[in-house]
Amino acid sequence: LAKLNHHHHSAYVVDFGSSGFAPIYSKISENLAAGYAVVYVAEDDTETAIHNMKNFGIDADHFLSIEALQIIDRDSYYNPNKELEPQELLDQFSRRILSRVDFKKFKGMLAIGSPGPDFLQKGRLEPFLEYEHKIGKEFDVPVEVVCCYRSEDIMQFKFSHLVSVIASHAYVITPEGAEHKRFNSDAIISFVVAGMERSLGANATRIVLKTLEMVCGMSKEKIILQPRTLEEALEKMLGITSSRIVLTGIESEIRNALLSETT
Amino acid sequence: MNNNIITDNQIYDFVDSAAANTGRHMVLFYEEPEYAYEIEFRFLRRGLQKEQFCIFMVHEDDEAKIVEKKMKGNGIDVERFRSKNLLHIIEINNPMSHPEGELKGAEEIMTSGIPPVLRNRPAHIVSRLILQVKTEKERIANVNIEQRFHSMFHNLNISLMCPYPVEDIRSELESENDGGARWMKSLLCNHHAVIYALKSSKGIALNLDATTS
Repeated sequence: LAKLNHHHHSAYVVDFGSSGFAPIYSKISENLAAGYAVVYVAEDDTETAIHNMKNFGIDADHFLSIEALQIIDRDSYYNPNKELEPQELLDQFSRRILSRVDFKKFKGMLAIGSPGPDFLQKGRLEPFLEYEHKIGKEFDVPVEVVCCYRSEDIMQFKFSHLVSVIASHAYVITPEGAEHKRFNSDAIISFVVAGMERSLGANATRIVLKTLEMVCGMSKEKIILQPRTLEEALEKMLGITSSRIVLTGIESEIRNALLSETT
Repeated sequence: MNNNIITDNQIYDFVDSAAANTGRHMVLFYEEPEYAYEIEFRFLRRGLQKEQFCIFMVHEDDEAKIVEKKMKGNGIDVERFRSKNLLHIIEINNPMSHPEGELKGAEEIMTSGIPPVLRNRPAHIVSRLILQVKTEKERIANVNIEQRFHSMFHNLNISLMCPYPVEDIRSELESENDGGARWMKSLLCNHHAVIYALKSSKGIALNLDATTS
C-alpha cells in the first residue's frame, strides 16, 4: 500500500541507462491494475511508448480506450526549445494533467513524468526546481505526482539542487522503486553534518555550523529552505577550494541516500 | 575514521595568507596555550620576514620573559629582530583600570604604550587588552574595546590577532540556541576572521568579514 500512497508528490530516481523505462512502466501497471488513472509524460514518441508498454505486459489499448491511461508527448509538455517559466509549467500541469481525469470513474490518479535527457541543463534546472516546489508536497485529492529524475542527473546536481529535490517532495522513491523514503528536516541536516565531517572532522564541523548560525543566521530551516545560502557562506568562510571539498562530502551523503536502497 | 583533509594544514595556510597584508583583525580561540603560541609566532614571523614591525603585548613582566623564551624556542631570532627594531614585546596595563574607562585605557595603550617609531607603521600585533573576561563587566568592557578597534580598523595599517582561551566561550559554543551566545557572537561580529585552534583536531580558520550581515 505504501507504493500506492496517493495525495503526495514524490521524486523517483530512475536509472534509465540500465533499466530504461521499465521501472516507470511497473509503477504505471501497478496503478492501472489497482483502479487508478494514469497520465504519463516521459517519452517523445507516444506510439513507441504504447508499443513498449504492451511489450511490458500492459494492456495499453484497453486502458487508453477507457481513458484510464493518457499519454502526453514529453517534448510538447517540457518544451526543450523554450525557456522554462515555473508558473507557466504549473498552469500547464493543472490544465493538461489534473483536469484530464474523471475522478468519479477512478480511485485517483498517478501523474508520472520526466523531461528528456539534457533538459535540466542550460539554465532550466533552477526554474524546474521552483516549479517542483510550487506543486506542493501533499494534495487533498487522491493524486500522486511522481517526477522522475535520471540517476545521472542526480550525480551532477550540486548541494542546493539536491536539497531542493528532497525538500520539494513528500517522498523519494529509490532506483529499484521498492522503497518510498520520507526525508524530514532532521534527515537533511544529518546529511549536511555527516558530509562536513568527512573533510572537517566532528569538532570543526560543530564549530563551523555554530559560527554559520551566529554570523550568518544559518539556522537548520534556512539551510533547507535556502540551501544556496549555505553554499555561498561556506565559499566565503573557507574559500572556493575548501568549500568545494566540504560540499562534495555533503553531496555524496545525499546522493548515497537518494540512489541506494538503504539509508 | 575521518580524513580531515581540510583541517590538517588549514590554519597555518590561513595565517600565512592573513599575514601577507595588513588590515586583518582576527580572533584566535585556543584550547592549548602552546598551540596558540605556534600560531601567533607564525603570524609574527611572516611579518618579520617582510621587515614589518611585530608587537606581542603581555600583561606581566614574567610573561614577557616566558614569551621571549618561547619565541626563541620557536625559531625566532629575537636578538636579531630586536636589534633591527622590528620585534617588540610590550607590557601593558589593564585598560579597565583607567579612571576614564576601558576605551580611554585602550587608546592610551595604543598611543603612549607603543613607542612613537612604531605608530602608523605597518605592523603585526598579537594582543589581548583585557586578560580576564570572567565577569559580565569584563566581557562588556572587552566587547567595547573590540568594537572600537574593529570600527576604526580600516584606518589602521596593522593586522591584529586577539587570542582567547576557548574556555571563555565554551558554554556559548556548546549552547543549543543562538540567544545564549551573545558574547561569542559579539566577538565574531567584531573581527574579520576567526581561528579555532583545537586540541582534538587541528582546528579551523574562517573568514568572517564577507559573511557578516
